[in-house]
Amino acid sequence: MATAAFSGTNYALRATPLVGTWPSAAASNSEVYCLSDECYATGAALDSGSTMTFGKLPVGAVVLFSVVWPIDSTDVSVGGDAMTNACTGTLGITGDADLFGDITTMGTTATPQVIEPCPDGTTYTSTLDMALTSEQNVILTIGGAALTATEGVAIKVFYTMAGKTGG
Amino acid sequence: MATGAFTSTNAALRVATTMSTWPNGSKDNGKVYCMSDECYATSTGTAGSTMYAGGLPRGANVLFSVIWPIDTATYGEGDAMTAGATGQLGTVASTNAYGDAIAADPDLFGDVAALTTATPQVIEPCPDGTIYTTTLDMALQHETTPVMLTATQNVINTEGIALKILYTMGGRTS
Repeated sequence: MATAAFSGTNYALRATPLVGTWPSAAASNSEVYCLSDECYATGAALDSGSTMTFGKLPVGAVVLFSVVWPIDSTDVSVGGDAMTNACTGTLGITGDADLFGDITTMGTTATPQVIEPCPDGTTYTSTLDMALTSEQNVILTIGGAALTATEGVAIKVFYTMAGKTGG
Repeated sequence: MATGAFTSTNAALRVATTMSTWPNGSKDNGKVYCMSDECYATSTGTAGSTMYAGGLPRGANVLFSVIWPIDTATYGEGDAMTAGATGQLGTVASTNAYGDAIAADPDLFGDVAALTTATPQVIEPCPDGTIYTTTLDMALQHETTPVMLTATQNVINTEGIALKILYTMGGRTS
């Protein structure tokens, strides 16, 4: 075997600079936007499988990565606050529950997690070409264990916009 | 000993509100841009192989990068590599589309730990003096292609990397 030189998708497109195939701004050198939200659990229905619905991403959003951490409405002064139970989760949309990534346990640490998109073929097949085809709420589906009332999750979803060229 | 009060580079510049030394947008409250690409191996390459990704414009000041392993079989979903390939993200000696000579700085954008886990890695720039000497003043002198230079282990055919490089732009104010 020997060393080899491999070309990225957008690198190859840029090497042949044709208007029709030039990488779109969403996939290459675009402005970055951020959806930021918090969602707290309330009531008694808190089992694994519960959902937390966050703000909306616009049509055309191409998610780059997300940052999530656990919080608690009774202890906001400390910022991140580890959950009582070992809750995990998936972050996605209706019809593709893990499109924006998988969350490991939030029960032992409040350290923020950087999670990567999972365009696994359910609806999308590439991190470069997963622009949302309609406006979508971001939904966190809890796994692993039950939530405790007052616990919540803070999320920051970073994305670019298909069709925008920056400014 | 006693407590100390230390002043950062940009905090100090902001204290002396002089036009010529005011921090520019790339270092201080600048808009953030992202270069995004995927690169797959099309054969098995030994350590020392190169993976070329997208391109960064002249003036780009890289903040940090996020990288994770992928595989054509599982699309862009994180997928751990078979071998424990590590790597460096930076530049190789080359000439860009405008004829500018690009100097080699293999780890300018950071060091990549073993890609044997699909967990995304946030990697920081290494302005170690090869070309640049501070994270605040490393706006690229030329349009440049980021290159990951693999190390330690092979990259197997169909394996690849997903890469997001976040940066500001030197000289832009909005």
